[in-house]
Amino acid sequence: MTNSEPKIVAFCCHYCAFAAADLAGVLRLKYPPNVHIIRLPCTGKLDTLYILKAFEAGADGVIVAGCLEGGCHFISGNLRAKKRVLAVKGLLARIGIAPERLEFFNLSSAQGDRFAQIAREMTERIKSLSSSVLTPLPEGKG
Amino acid sequence: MSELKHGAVAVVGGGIGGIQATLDLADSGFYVYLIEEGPAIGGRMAQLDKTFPTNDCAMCMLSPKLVEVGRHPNVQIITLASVEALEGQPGNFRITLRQRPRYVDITRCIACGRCIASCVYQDAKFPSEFDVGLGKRKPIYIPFPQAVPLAAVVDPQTCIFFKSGRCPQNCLQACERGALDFTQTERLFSLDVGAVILAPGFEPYDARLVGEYGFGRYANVLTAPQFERLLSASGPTMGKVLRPSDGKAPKKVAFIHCVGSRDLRHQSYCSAVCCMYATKEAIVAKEHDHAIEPTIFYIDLRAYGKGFESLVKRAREEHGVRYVRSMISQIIEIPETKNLLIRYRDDSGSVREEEFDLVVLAVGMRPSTKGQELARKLSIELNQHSFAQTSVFSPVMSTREGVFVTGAFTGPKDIPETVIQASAAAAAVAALLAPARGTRTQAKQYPEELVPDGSPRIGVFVCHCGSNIAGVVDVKAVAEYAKTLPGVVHAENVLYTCSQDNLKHMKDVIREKKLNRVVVASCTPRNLAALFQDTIREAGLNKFLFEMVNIREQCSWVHSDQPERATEKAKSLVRMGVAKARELKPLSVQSVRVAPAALVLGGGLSGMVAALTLADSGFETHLVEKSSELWRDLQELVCIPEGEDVQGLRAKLLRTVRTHPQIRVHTNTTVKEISGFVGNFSSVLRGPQGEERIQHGVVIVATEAYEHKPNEYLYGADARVLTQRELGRALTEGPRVRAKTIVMIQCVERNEKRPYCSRICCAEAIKNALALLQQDPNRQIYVLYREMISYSFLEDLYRRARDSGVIFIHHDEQSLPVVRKENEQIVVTVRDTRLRQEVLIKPDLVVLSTGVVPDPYNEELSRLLKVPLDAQGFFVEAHIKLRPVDCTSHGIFLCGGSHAPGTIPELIAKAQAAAGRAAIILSKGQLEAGGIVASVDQEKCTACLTCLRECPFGAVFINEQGLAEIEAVKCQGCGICAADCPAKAIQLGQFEDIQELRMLEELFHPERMSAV
Repeated sequence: MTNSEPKIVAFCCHYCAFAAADLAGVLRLKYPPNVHIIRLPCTGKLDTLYILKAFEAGADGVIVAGCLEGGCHFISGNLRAKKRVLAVKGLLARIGIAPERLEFFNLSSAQGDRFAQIAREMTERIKSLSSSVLTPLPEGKG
Repeated sequence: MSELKHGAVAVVGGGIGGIQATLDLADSGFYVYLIEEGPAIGGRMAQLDKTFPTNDCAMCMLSPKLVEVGRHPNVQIITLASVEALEGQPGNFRITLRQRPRYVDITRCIACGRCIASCVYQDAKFPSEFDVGLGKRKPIYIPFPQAVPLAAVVDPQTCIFFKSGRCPQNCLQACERGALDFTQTERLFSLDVGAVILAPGFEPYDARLVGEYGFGRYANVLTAPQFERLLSASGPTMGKVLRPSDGKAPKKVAFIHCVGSRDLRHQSYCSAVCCMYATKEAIVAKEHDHAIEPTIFYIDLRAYGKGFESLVKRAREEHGVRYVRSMISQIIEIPETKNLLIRYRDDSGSVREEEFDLVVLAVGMRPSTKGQELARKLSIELNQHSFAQTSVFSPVMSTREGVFVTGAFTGPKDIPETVIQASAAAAAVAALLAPARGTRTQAKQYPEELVPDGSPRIGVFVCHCGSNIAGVVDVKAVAEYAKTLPGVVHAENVLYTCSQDNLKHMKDVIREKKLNRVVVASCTPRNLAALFQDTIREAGLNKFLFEMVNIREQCSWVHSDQPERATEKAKSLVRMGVAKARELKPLSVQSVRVAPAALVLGGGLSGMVAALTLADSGFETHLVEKSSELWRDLQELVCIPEGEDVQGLRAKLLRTVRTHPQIRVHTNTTVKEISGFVGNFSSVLRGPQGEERIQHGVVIVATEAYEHKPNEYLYGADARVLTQRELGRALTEGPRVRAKTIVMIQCVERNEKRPYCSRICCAEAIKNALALLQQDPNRQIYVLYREMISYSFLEDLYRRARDSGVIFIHHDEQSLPVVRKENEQIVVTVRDTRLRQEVLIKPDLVVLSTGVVPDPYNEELSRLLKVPLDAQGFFVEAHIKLRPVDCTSHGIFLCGGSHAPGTIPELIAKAQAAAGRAAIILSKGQLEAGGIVASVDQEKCTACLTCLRECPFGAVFINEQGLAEIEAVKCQGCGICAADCPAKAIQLGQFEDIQELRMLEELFHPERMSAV
């Protein structure tokens, strides 16, 4: 089956974003089916390698969603994850992948609508980018 | 005691207090009946959006607890039930319950909502209790999305069938599970229990009774609980702040404090939480909609708890919340705009009128009607405010032996105080019923684990969930597809995977087909993964050889408009799940023996209470005090409440502690070292007889706080300047105080270095002022204050002082009082904010409320125990709301003034709570270690220490080889270390890199199926 929608992986913390995604379901909200969730015990478990691997394997976008700041079940996992995402954004830019394809979000388990909104927004954002994940690098760089 | 005691407990009230008491008891060997009046547990906390002072999401904290209670083998939840009678003696009660019909069989209902959708009422029409009337529900409804038990309920008051008998009962047909049963009737039954804990909670004050604010008449006047629902992302407006009158976003929002509280026409006491929840709501509203301009009208700003002060500071400085100290006597609605006019006195003293788009009434807490009914039926006494009567020294004991009370039933209080009392009540019950521990609970027996042989044999169960999944996703196609995946030897469709008959079928299939991995594609793993894991364990598989794929909440329910793509997605998700399953490894869980003894550090009031609670529960306790005596100085550590025989309490405690066979007192003793971890600590005590090594399973830090000794206001330079404690000592022990005019100064040296409120000083000043007047009614007493912190029932004391002629003078934080000497006369000047001018007093005595400071010994303890202190030197708890006496490091618990300042009843409850939490570990005898924990591959570790630095739980240590190793008992399974390890030497069980990467590969390249 073919569709033009970008393929997005969402790495979600078990305690907040994954629960928010569940709530989106309970509330019967709608978002595009191109977003696939991978559950992590904490976004602190998110290895930078996973993000890179996702792009390598063919993802058009990656969402990382952890708890609200100060609300991490494991105290500081979401802060670690945010740092890593920022670092990977830098790497992506250097290898010619638009850093906007990767985003870190903070949300609580009560924010079902926010999850659906993030899924929709990221889909739209990536659609508006060049169709290819890899954009040609400007001269003299890379 | 040889008489028979029941090992079961009735907990009445399913709010956060009842839930905490239930979990504590059920985890320490008692069977618990959790009795709830409504259709679901969760209480008021479930309705909150955020909680102060951290603004954490309430549901994120509460929901896992709800699930835990719902699944606990030692808990039976009884909803829609009330207590009719209680007969018998402590240890041997019979409680009689009346249970109203739900008309829904909760063992069959799967909360799919089909009955609700099919109801003859097409639109929800009746005010939702959960949304405080702002949202609507039907006569058949699910209380809230995270409800436990998660099942529909019929409200016979609004259901047409019950009202007229003429209803097609579409719901009956719509239910695919046959869960509806309109023949259910009310049930009266009795249970045998050893003790009862009452936690019926509170009711918000009825704002209609405060007529001048127009609630119920003016559309845009809401109560704070309603506003909370507006802020909630799962509330009636999905978290948008909108005016009820026109659905527009309000700009100017006013919060009015003390609605129904501190008011003799309503309730004389302070409701203790409104100042902070209003501050929180103002911040959260601002975060939701930046255009909102919140204004808070208050009388005294009572930010007296841990972290409260900094929240208020943030509200003012970062969020631009405007605070106006002014009582509001009336709200007037402007008919055309439905805006609200508020008249108030500004800082300059002039009266102003201001228009607001929305007004939120910070309503207080009142005793609940069901609580009062409970008290009557159980013959326990209520206090003058109709809250449960307790005593200062037994804060969770009712007037009937064996019946304990907790939470807002004992007086207005916030969530952590409620949780502390709940743990304290559970601890008191555990001590009372200690001989019966374990008599009503059963440890489940499992068959021996099969060792999985080499190649994966995966079974996939794809759930229809009635039509919840099958109505959107082609589940047959998904199961067929699953059969084609490598490693899968069995795949089938199941109508309801979670049904009892299917669970048995799953076990049969596992045995017949020799499955060694199981994948269930159904609903969210958050609710049912544990059930399926238990099932496969019953079939002899290691419970970690299981993967759950969510094709309901995260597929069929969100993609019902695109069934084909939902089916494709379900296939992808199953493919990913199977890919992970292929890589799953059995994880071992080892039992670690618990050393059945406790170490209590600090022999003051808290330490003695904690030690006694533990010892009464049957555990050997070492009570260590660095000075020569237990609770050496009566006045030094605690604020003595009015009219209480604290001397007598101290004498009794000393006697009991000294003679208790389970307590060993070590005075003049310090701790030299502490090593080990939860269940197995080993410590060296250094005392007069030399050094001694002791083994213990838990540690309780019970150091107290001391009165701060100031440097200013002539303290130490003039004998006529005293601290409150010194005055208290003079009043009780003499010499007689000779002074006619007395000035008391509050919040002395409370500044950037000591920015916190010490919680107890205002009450102490008031009590001393009253005692001074009792000696000589002609005395002139002035109290100079910033905010009077007479929270809860202390407000009555404050009122009595005002009525007795004590003069309270408010001054700003910026214009502190000045004390100087003119010749030999002490002169105090202060700028009175009400009079807006300088006041000059010539007192004979100046008394300073200086606040408390934590024990300096904390620093050493913090180092020894490797647990953190906050900037002020107080110990930091694991979670400010729900784990207030736990440390982040497992097995270490906190109480005493060194955790946070408190009154005697608060300190006693906290000490009992800490002891109770510690006793849970000791009562287990063994702890499980392992499962989803991280481990280090010693071959790859380069000892870079990254993991050691990043682990939030101190679980990493450097072993004898100089390499990193992880203490399985301490590891919480977050995986931070695994992600941070530069050598990729750390893996987290169940979330290994290979497992995650395989899922990613399979998501995008199904054709490139990884070699098995």
